[in-house]
Amino acid sequence: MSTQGRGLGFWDGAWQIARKDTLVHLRTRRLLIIGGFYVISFLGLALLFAVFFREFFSGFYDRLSGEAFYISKANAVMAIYLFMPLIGASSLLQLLGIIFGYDAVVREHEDKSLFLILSKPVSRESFIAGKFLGSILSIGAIFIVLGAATYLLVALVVGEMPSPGDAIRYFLGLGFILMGLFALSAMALFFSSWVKTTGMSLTVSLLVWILVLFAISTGGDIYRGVNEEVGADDPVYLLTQYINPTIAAKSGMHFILNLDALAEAGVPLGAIALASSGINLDPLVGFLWLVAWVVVFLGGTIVVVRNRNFE
Amino acid sequence: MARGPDVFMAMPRAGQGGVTAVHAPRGSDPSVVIETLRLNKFYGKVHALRDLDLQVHEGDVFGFLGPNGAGKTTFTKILLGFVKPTTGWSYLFGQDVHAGGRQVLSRVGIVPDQFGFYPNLTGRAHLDFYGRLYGLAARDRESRIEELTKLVRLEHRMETKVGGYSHGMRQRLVIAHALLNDPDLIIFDEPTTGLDPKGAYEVRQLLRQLASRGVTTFLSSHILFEVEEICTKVAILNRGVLLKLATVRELKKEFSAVSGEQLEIVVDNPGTRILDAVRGTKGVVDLKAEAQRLTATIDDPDQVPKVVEAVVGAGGRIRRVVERQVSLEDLFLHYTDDGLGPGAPQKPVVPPGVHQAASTTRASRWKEGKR
Repeated sequence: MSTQGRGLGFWDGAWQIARKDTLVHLRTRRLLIIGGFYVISFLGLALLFAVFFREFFSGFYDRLSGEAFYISKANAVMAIYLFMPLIGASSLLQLLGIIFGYDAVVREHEDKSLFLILSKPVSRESFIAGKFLGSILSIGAIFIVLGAATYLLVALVVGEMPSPGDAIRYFLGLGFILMGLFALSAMALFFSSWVKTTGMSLTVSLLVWILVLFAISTGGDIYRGVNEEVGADDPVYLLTQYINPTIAAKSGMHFILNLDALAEAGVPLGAIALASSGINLDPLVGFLWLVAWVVVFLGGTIVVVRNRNFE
Repeated sequence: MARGPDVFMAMPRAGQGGVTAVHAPRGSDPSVVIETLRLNKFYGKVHALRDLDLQVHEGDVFGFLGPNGAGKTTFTKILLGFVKPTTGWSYLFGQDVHAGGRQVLSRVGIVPDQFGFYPNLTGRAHLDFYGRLYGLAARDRESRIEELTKLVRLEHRMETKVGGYSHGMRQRLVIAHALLNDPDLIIFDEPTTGLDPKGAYEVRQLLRQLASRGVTTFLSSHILFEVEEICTKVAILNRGVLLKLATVRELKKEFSAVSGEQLEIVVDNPGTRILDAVRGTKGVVDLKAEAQRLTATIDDPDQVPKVVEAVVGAGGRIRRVVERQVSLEDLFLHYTDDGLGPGAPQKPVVPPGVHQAASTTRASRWKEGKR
């Protein structure tokens, strides 16, 4: 009887790599520790908003219009409670993308487990797709737990369940942030395939994220601030905002929450959110930009790995 | 599969001090399992592999010998697609893994010289993962894992995390992983390095077992007796140049022809008649007598019985016959000694006794260097 196997197609191979990575993340407790930290942090933030700001928000509740405000009037406050931790801490969330991407390839190479994988009938493209899929699975698992736990906690504190429409908007908002995470994960994966040590990969990923991307978007804000003629729809300004996946991801959140309406209604927290960048971005462009970001970095990773010699 | 002797005929390559095998065009001979054509690899200015032409055929137990830095691991990594050649081609079962032929790896098992496992996964989880990568169906995976864990004696440690495995256990696990797909070709790169004597012995036993089953085996090693014990064909690589490619027997015969082989015969009744009879035997190139001990130098190991017959025929009563055969170590040192780099002139052959002493010294030095 021959047991040489049937060989693996592209997605089969990718799935096996992703499955293994998720298993390793589970067994090393990486998923548990990092996921636990995030879930606890966000539950804490949601609780903070729900308990301390409920009465504060209630004063503005009646002024919120159902038509202008995308979130239904009945659940507006609750929706704010749910969204605010996500908006306020979306940068922290984006870090998850880097955490699950920076060592994906380079650690396999450092630990020499890569040779046992690449000696199998799995293409390098499939291997990279699997690595990305693995990070998506881990990040997605954390997000599902985090989102559901926050949702339930706020529902318990507020004492009412959101309408189905608000629930959908909430998870759509999460989806936008998740896209931003995938974009950063693809970027970290690219560096992971390029450099020779995990330390270097983490350093480069963080530096690019913090110094380059945030520097560009902050530079855009400064450019707009010092030039009165530069409006919120100035293409150069918009480009500096779109370029940062964190801000591009926020565009969807802002759209769903309709912070303009919040601000007009005089919600102070809405005004705070207004001050944050990304408010003028088109969510569709933001979404497409994030997809493009994933495609470009994933493609770049495949090009690097295809041409790299693994000594 | 039977093959003509010309397939492994080693031919000197002009100006390089190396040899090349006569090979058929790729794909014309389905029995060719590994084939490289004018394979070159540069690392910066270092020419790690030089115009390497090699063929390994179905059923071969092939030894790939060379000192550290000879290019053995580079060669293996090119074969498997980890490293791209600078120029030239490499094929496994007629497929170029560098040009989309990776599916052929489903027929290959590899035990690399350096490898790593995931410390938090169990032995079973590892084998299951690699079985999945080979595309084995669940039932086949399970039965293969059971079978192989018994073969490598890890059946009681399969549920233990690999982080708690000893070096020997990891080596056995990597061997089991390489056999999961019931490979047609198995590549061992220094499989006994770092193992204790018992572990190394067990690995060699396993290699013999595989070889006896007809699995084409490619053993890259610097451990000479290992190759000599197991392999039927040998390639000697030094500084990226293939210096020799032949069967072990052919190599020994060739070396004996130029350096001679010593045959020591102890007789109860030495005498001129016996000495004359031995001197007159075909193949004897030198003879020394000391008390009851005759030491004959012969140029062909096949002549040993003739020499013994000559002694008996001359009335000699033989007490003991000791044949000091040319070892692979002699050959290896002969071909890879520093003076024998690419393009260097052939090393003068020293008399057997002198050669033996020198060889031992060099061998000891080299082995010490390896450790």
